[in-house]
Amino acid sequence: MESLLSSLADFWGTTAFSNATLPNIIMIVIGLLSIGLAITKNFEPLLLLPIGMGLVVGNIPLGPDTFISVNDEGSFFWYIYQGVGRGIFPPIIFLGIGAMTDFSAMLANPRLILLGAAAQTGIFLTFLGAIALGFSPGEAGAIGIIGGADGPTSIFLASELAEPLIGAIAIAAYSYMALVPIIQPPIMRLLTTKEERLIRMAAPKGSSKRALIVFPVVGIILTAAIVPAALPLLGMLFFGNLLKESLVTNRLAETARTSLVDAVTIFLGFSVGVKTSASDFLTAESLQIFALGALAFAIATAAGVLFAKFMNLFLKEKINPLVGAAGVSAVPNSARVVQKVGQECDPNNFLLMHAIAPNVAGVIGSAIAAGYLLSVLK
Amino acid sequence: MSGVLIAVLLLPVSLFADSLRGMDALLEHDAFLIAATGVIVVFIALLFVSVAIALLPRIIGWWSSIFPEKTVVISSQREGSGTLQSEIAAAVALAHREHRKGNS
Repeated sequence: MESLLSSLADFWGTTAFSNATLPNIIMIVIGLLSIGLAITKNFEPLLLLPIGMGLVVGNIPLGPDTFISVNDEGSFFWYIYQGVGRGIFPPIIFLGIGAMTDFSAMLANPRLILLGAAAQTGIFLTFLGAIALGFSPGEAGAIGIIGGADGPTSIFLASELAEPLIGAIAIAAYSYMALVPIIQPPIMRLLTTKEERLIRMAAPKGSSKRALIVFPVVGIILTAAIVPAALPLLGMLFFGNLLKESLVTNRLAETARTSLVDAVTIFLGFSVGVKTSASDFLTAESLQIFALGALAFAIATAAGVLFAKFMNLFLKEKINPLVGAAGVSAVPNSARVVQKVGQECDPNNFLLMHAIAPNVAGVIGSAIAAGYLLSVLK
Repeated sequence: MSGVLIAVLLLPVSLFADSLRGMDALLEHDAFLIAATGVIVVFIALLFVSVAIALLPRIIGWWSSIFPEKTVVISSQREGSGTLQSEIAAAVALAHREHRKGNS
């Protein structure tokens, strides 16, 4: 009987109940909150739900000799995390994004691409803010990229420059992407007059099929020549787009934009959650990251709108400055926001197709910014 | 208006004013230089893309004039023809035809 009790006591020592600490419990509650927001509020569910489940799984308290946590080399969780830690999953997601993206709106109006560049200013101003707050340059770069409004890019750069912050950065990036319809409109209204919001833009010209096929090839050569460090992201983005546009690889394009991207998204979100421990996440730095992420989004939106107004000083055919807000690469949420805010003033003004151009340019711009930061800060 | 905007944007930073290390950290890491270069790099890269797109129709026209027809992948080349499945289907059809010939 005594040995049975002793055996039960030993087993009790291995259970999560015995090893639970307050930080573990808080992290599990945060995980449940993420799952709740994904399910009930539809907040970026494809990522927040796997991240939330990962937070719960990764923060179940473990006994001393279990060797199954994400930090134990050779464990299941350690293996799947290598896709994030070694920067494999984000480029594969970019392959899928490339196979989903239609660049025809951008090709039809190339001047709007510059709005996608202007919005990336948010990344670099936030980088300055983060350094001023005491973060290291690498951490500041990884935090600044939240302003690019691109989840895979944020995770890619965080895994390279600031791995301990990856959970906070990923959660901040995806949370703010979900909050685009709340964050952007007040800034857009504040920076534009009603007359500017009423500007109608001529319907974009169509782009030829040949141009759509040639663009990914020209695009990768040009951008990678300038920022080779962005090659994993941009190479896969343009490769995916070529699969889509060439029309001779429909099966591959279909797989890239559906099964492949879905499978990788599951493991990306889940392993980011699993890796996010209380000691890394429950810190003052995480709060600062959330504040800086909001700042980055706000600056990116403002920079896009203000640059559109600046371009209007030189253009005969004026750009509706609201379109500049779509320069953040939250595709297609920010383009939809532009359409909605524009139609508040004029229900017959259709800005969506114009806003898509800086929107997809923003995807390329944020990958270029990530490549630049990687090459300078690593 | 711009004053209000700046105040709104700086609000989150002001919440952490105590931990601000100010200009020293920025200067120590050449942060302004890195940020300014980054903005310029992104603009130049996307400007190149923008110019390349504007020139694409001319490049395609020039290319087509030198290498007419087959050199550019065209939309009529679709997956399906030349695949293993289509070869099998053709072989099956041929086999049926030969079988009918044999019976008659």
